[in-house]
This record gives sequence, structure tokens and C-alpha cells, in this order.
Amino acid sequence: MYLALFLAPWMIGYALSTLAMNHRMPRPTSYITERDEPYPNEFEPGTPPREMALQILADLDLVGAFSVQGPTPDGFLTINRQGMLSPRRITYSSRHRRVAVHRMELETSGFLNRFHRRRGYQQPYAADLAMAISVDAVIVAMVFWALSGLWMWWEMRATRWWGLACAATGAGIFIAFVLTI
Amino acid sequence: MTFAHVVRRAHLYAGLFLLPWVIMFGVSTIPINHQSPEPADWVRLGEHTFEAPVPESSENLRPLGRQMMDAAGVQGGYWIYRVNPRQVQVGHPDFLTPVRLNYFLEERRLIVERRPFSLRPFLSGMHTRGGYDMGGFWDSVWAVFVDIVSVGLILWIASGVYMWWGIPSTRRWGWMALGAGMICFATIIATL
Repeated sequence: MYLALFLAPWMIGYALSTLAMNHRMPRPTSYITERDEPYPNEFEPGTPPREMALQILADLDLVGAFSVQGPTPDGFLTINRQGMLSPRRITYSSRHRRVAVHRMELETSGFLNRFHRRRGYQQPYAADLAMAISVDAVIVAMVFWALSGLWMWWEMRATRWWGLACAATGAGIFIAFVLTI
Repeated sequence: MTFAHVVRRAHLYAGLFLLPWVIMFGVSTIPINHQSPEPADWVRLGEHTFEAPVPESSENLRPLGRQMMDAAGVQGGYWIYRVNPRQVQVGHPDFLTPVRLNYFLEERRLIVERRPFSLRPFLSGMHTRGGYDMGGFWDSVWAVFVDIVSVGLILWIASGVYMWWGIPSTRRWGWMALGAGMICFATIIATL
């Protein structure tokens, strides 16, 4: 019970985001330009894009999980700075020595989608690590709730037959799905 | 029969009915949260000469997907996306052994492949399958169950909170658990 109360926000988040994703709720993306300014720092030719992106994010005080595209032949590097509430797209032009920061406007289905998909231990940042650990906690909790629920049901003799009917029906439908579709 | 009795029984029987889905969504999150660097192996089933016009907009790709499915002799639901300007991919989800079709426009080739059963992609495939736009009847029925599980999760939380409130001796620790969870959740969301 206490575990369920603690993890209630995650479970509500996963339930709502699953509904949004199952119904392919549209995710309109509109960006607001936060900054568009000169960027005087230079990079040695052949600098790996991730190193360039790391330096740019540090200079902009935007360090955190990111992916990077480019540089394109005309010198544009695009950094996608992940963010649960406000992801940012940062464009650096080596030719013009400028950097522009565009922030995605907060919108419900996009937020739910990002929340549902955020996982894994690939990023070296504390918040990402905390999220991955919380995802593992939800995994353990779901299996624990299932098994402890089975045990509590078995302890209530009055519910055994109806419970067995529900469990057998659910298991039968699930197995039929797995084997046939 | 009191309201509290109905809530307890609904909590229990819904949980027993949806138990396989709850375990599946929990266990199948493991390969997603702990990703393997090794890609899944696909076995080539065949190759066909194929040519069809490809619409510019990715929103109009589904008729092309149907043509690719028919050319490969595959029945059922499918998803489709344009990998790059020279390649379109169709996937026919099957929990145990899914099929994928790759159409290489310039070479006018359609390659049909099947993924042999493998535990990790089997689990993650169950986790990610959903949506009413696949075109297959049973795909839509599966999507209905995904919705039912989602609504079930919300109802279990609501009925769980109701049942917790009915046990006054657990309120203090319950408030602490609920509050701590909300603070941790809000902190992670705000800093990610």
C-alpha cells in the first residue's frame, strides 16, 4: 500500500501517457526563440560533433542529456537538448559564428509522450539516472503488486471461485493473443 | 453490500483479470530500460521485383503499405514509415515472429524478412504494440485491452486511495509515502 502511494504519480503518468499514445494524440510542435546571439568560440577542424555540442551547451548553461546532428556541409550543427517540460533545439553556425536556442512550447500530449519514453542508463546525468532508477522501481513494484495481490486473494476464501474465473479468463485471452497475433 | 465492499471486490477482480497484462507491462520494461547494444537478427524470406509510386507526404503512405503487404503475401495489420528518400519500411507485428518488408525504390526491390523468436524483442514488442491505426482487426482488439489496462491503473489508484483512507491507523505513514512520492516525481520531472 505504501509503495503504491509512493509510486502513484508514476503510475498515473504511465496510464495517461499510454492512453495518449494508444490513441496517437497529435503532438503539435511549436518553438519559441529564446536566444539568437553571436558565439565567438571556435572549434578545431575535425572536432567530434558531441564534443562541440558539449562545449556549446556548457557555454549556454544548458548542460544535460542531448543528441546532435551535423555538422552539415554549410556548417550547421543542431543539438537536441532533451527536456521533460521544455526540450530545446540549439543551432550553431560555424560560418556565421552564431548560436540560436529554440524552446519547444509545453503541450500535454508531447509531455506525456516524452515522460513515457524517458528511460535507460545511457546518459551520465543525475536526473536521468534518477528517472531510470524510478523506472526500475516501477517494474519491481508492478510484479510485486501482481504476486502480492494473488496471495491476498488466495487468503480470502469467499472470493476464490469468482477470482479464479477472472484470473483464468484474463490469462486465457492473453495467451490467445500472444500465440495468434 | 456496501460501497466499500463493491470497491474492494472491483479492485480485486479487475486485478485478477488484467494480471497477465500488469506482469507483462512490468517485465517488458526491463529490456527497454536496460537496452542491449546488439540488434535483433532478421532472416530473409524472399525478394520480389516491386515498383509503386511513393507519395511525398508521410501521412499518405498507408496505401503503399497495403501494396507492399499484398506483394509479399502477408495478411494483417501493419505500420509503415519512410526510412530515407530511397527506402520505405513496413512492419507486420507478430508477438512471436514479426515480419518486415523493405522497399528499395531505386533498385525496385522488395525484401521480406522474419525475426526468429528472441526473448528481448518479444518482450519489448509486447510493450510497444498498440494503436488503432494498424488496419488489422485483432490489432484493434489488443489496443482496446491496452486502453482497459490504462483505465484500470487509474481505477486501482483511486480505489487504493479510497481503501487506504478507510484504515485510519495507516494515514500518517500513507501521507508520508504519498507526499514523498510526489516530491520525488516533481523534482525528477522539473530537472530532466
